[in-house]
Amino acid sequence: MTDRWREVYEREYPRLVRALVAIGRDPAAAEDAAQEAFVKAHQTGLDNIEKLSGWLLVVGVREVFRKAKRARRETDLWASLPPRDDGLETSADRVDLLAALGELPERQRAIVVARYYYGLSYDEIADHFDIKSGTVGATLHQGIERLRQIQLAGRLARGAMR
Amino acid sequence: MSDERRDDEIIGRALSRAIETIDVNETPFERSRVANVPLRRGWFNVWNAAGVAATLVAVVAVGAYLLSPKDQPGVVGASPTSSPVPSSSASSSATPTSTPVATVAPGQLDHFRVYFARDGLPPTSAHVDNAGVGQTPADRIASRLKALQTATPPPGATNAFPANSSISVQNVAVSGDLVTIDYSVPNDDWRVRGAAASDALIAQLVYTASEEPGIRRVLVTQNGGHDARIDQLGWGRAHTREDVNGYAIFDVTGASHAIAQDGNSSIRYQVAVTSSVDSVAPALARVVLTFKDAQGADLTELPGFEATLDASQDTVAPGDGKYALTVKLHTGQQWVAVSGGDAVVDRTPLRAVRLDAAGLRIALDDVRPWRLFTLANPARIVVDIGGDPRATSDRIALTAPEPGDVANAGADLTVTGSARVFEANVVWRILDSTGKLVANGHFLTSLGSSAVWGTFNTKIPMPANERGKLTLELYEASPKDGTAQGLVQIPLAVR
Repeated sequence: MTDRWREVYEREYPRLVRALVAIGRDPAAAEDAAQEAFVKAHQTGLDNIEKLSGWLLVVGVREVFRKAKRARRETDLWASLPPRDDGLETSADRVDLLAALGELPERQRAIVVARYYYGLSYDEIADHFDIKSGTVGATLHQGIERLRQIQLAGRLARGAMR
Repeated sequence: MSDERRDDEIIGRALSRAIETIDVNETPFERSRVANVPLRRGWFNVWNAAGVAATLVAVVAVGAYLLSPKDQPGVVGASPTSSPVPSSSASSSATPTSTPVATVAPGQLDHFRVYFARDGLPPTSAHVDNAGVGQTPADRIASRLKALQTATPPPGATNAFPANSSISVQNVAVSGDLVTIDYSVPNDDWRVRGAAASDALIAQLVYTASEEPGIRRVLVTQNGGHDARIDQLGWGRAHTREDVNGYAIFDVTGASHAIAQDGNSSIRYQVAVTSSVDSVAPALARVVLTFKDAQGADLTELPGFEATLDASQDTVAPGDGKYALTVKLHTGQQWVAVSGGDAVVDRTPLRAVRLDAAGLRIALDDVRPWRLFTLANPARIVVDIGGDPRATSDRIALTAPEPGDVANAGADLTVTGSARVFEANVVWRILDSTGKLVANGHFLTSLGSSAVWGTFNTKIPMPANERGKLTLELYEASPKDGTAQGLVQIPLAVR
């Protein structure tokens, strides 16, 4: 039993925390919510959960937002993110993208992360977040379009400062 | 997929990578709440309080981590975020510094290396101590693959192998030039998501496994010989490096694809060799031969030469890579090598450069499109191998702008590179994000209709009123029907 949980935990936990930090912007709250999500999964029972990773994400997201509403404290995480020079984008681009994500409505944030970071299908998203599958595509496109605009604005601002 | 969907996908992937770079405190299972779930309800509040305390500890730990140096050169798997290993196995895996480090004999290639992924580019390698020790090829391959799992990528690259995973190599079998590797993959889940990450991991595995001399094909299976399935991608059949390095590779090997030119054989030449990787353009290896006369004076003439790319026997000749590009020099008298004539480089794809009586021998990791052009003042032969796959075709290779560069609307854009096209005529056009033509024109390279490539360094005017994501395309207009041949496409951000 414990071995099975260890495997699930080691596979899912890092990704879940990252997703929740991206969505909720508070590392401590994200970690707390992720831990809570696993406890809830344990209470529900692994055998009763279909598609565990999506399930954990949805429960974690709910926890993060519940706590955020209570605390409403947004730390300025993004300015302090350590740059990681992997050359894929400039670190400024990454900070922009993550900051831009934070400006989307909460639900949209979660859906964008579910799609692009978790790789969930439209149907899975519709299922987990309890929305019509027809609206998933539109919500995603809207969210990405908004990300693009905010990111471009950030780039132009930096360009102007050069 | 529509352009719009594809654009969304690009931003989505960038976002995914951004999220993946968030540093988090990976609380080990032993300290997780779920591992300590109380058996009796009445304990719940106690454990909840413990949870709060754990969170406080975690925050302090994250803070301390941000202040600590991230990388310790030479120590593999020392990432401070990795979960502590259970105490039972700690003694066996926590002593990398006490193991003697295997060394490479002078003049030999360093095969203690693993490969990392680069976005839109072929993989690149880095040395990892003892990655590749072992008595048999299978042992050495297993050693490199094991090292890959925890290796820290060099700047500009990523390691797509999922961190802290319990995925492990179960069996390695070598047969001729084929290696078959079986991984144990819990729940058949490689913990890699998305096509970009899956491609990256596959490319890393193929390159790392075939670092062993003699190995050219790599087949990966999982959980006892089942077809490996990494996210949506099935491995299916054995892959070579050329299958996964991202180039549309045309036939570029053998005598029928030699690049040759006649020259002056009455001069006693001095030859200097220089090389670079990734500096002219990403994933591009450039080797330059500079010719002077016996007194060291500049020359206007070159000797005759003939360049070919062929597979080499890296098991027989340990100084060779998988492939060798040779440039034979046709001089009446023996030349004198003055510098750089014998160098192990070991930067993907360039392994070594050697100048001897037979000519110049460039040891390479793989096949990628290559070209040769000449320059004057001083007289030089330039061999370029690879480049950004988006900017490289069988007849055009762009070194500037690079994909993703920022350009200014209404300003001139500098375009440099080389081409071998009909009547030296390169056609260019600029498309907006919907694919609509917004500007076009053409320019001439230095040389047309010869085996040797021509070069260009020109400016094209960017339209004044077009901003955002534009694509610069260059191609040869087919002499038969004007269709685009050898197309390269460079996405630009225009502001």
